[in-house]
Amino acid sequence: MTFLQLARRNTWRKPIRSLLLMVCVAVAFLIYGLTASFTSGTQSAVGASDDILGVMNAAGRAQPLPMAHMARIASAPGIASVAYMSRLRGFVDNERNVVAVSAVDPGLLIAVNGSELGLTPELIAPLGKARDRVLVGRALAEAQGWSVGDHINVTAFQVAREDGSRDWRFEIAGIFAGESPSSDTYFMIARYDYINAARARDRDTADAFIVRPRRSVPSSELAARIDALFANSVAPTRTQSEKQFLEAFLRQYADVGLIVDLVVGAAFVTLLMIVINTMVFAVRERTFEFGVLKSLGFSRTSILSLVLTETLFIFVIGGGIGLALAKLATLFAPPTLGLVFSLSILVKAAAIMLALGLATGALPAVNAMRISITAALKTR
Amino acid sequence: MSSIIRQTLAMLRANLFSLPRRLAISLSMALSIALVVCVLAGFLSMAKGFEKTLTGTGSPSVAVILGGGTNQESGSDIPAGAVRVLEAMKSDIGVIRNAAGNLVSSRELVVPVEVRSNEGAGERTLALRGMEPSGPSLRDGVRLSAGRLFAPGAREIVVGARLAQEFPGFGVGDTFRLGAVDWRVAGHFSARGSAFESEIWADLDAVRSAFDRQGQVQSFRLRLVEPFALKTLQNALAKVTGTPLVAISEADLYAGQSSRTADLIRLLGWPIALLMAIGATAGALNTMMSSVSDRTIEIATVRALGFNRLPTFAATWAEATLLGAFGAVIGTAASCLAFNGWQASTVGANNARMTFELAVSGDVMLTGGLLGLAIGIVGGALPAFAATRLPLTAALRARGQ
Repeated sequence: MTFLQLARRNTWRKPIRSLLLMVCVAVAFLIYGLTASFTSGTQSAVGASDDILGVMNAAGRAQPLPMAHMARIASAPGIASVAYMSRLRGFVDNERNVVAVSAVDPGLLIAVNGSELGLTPELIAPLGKARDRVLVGRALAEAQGWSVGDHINVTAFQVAREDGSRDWRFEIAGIFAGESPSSDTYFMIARYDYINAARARDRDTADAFIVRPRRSVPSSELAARIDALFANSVAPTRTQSEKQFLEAFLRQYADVGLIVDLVVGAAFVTLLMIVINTMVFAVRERTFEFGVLKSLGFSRTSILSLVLTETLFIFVIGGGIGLALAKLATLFAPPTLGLVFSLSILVKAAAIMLALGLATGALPAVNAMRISITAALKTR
Repeated sequence: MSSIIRQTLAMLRANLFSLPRRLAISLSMALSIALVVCVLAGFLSMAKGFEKTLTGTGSPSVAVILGGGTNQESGSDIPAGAVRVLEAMKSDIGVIRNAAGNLVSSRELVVPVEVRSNEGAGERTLALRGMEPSGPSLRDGVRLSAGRLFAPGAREIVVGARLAQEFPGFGVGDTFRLGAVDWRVAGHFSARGSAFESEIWADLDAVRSAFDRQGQVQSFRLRLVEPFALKTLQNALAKVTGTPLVAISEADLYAGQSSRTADLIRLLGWPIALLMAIGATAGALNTMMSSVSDRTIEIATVRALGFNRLPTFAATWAEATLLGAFGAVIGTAASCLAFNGWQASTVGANNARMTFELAVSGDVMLTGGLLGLAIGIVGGALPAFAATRLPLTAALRARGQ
């Protein structure tokens, strides 16, 4: 009988107990997999870029900036390209169904942010045909069941048209997918000239300028330089990377990171306690057998690794099942949750699995290793 | 029958006295149940606290008129003409009038403003509400805790007590920059922990001019003669031609905001708690099976002495239930101590920050406790059954020293 066979037989000595332990482990890793998929998903700042800068009004992101800032930003050294945008938040059909519209000049946007959003010249070409055409992000299109050619009506929360109505009609000209599954595509891209011409107030202003620094220029230095340009103007600016902005924005909803850490922590503590105790018990029950193994000439290290292999086995099988379930869940979850089960989660989970397997096995394994043959044989 | 009860009690006593032998594993079962209870209680108390804050906000005898086909303040827009038509109505529209026969009312506007928080790191979006001088008196339960109210037309703010605690620079007499201009903090107000305390109040015209919202009115507040007078007001509104206006009671306005977020928190909490409960049940099953295997000889001995199967089952099951109850009690006690009064915040209505307090109320504790107890009961049943099925001869041979 090889070493591994022995370990396997030991594990299945009490099959129900081992299965239950695997269920515990699977549950903990399912929770881990789901929460990690959420924090690395589209609802987080993970997919946001550290390089792209957003220039907003220092008085708050709800305050617009004059379009005249554009030329001054563009002339600053170290800038590769710059685009302007206005935000329009509104709802479709009912107030709960909130959508965001970014009004931009598509030609400028593709130079700044094209690769991150997955925009291609072919994709934006149909926007030029009519002013009310929009590109819809894949996540948004899937969630609403929209397809190319549909006409939609967005009722804005704030931005009113000149006639007082707040209904904006759009025609969907295309769907953009984003660079990776983590990119946030729950919004649409409209033409700035359409919205600017029709809106009642804030005409010829932008809510933000999007800046891509030259490759060699560090974005934090450039941000400080841009803010210095407008420090004493009518509208001072605040420049942040997309990632900084999103992180600060999300933190307002809830300290998601803290909650996730607490829940995952509680799940793993529970798991650790259960598995350690059960393994200690299982080893104690088998003391006599370890005595026999020792008297047969098994070394201390092989006894140690026998128990460790057993716990690792439980962790790998259980954890594998848990992660597989988490992966399945991400496939079936609604797109609004934006779960992304990435490779890095898998690697991290595998590392945690190994570490916990060894940690929980350590105490019972050392117990089994330490016991003397005479004491062990006396237990029966 | 009575002998079965006596047998059960005797075995339960023996079970409990043998607990120290398996102290660690029994404690781990109780603690894992306690943790599950804590997680569930944490989420539920968050939802509860959020609801409590919003349902405690607003009075049924204050009507809020909104325009633009929405029943939220954000996105509402009332044309100035409609307000004038209402003010000119001399017939009974169900609202209180002052001595001169004018409406007791306040036109209001909410502007999101960004403020640096204490930690220095992030910016927080707060709601700055512009209102007429009568605005504060239209809110029940609000009182000044420091300083005075804003003076009409002046760039002065009064700050909710919770915000004042949380953000530096909101001391009475301080100057604070909101938007592009400086404001003087005139006072603080408290509102019994309701959502009002998460707002900053200022004079309507000062807010309009500072944020370029000339002439804009988002909501129009009126004090009703009595809560049922809302119907009269709604009928009167139907006669205002032009934009469609809706009137809802202030209490309903805030209660309506709470349901969605509270449901979302519960929707997040329950699956996580149930998943953990499955894990804990598996742990409880293991613990109780270890307990049975630890007592194999005792059980076999008393069965050989003529004890019935039922007491064997009942005693093991009762042990599991007791451990589950112990865990549930620790869990509810810990969550009560840890979560009650914890300050949390999220983005509420008007896309601005709303602070609330976690509330571990009676039903939250009951739900958590019952879940913990259920884990013990479910996890104990199978091993208890296994205990009754022990093969006597094999069991008695187990330790033949």
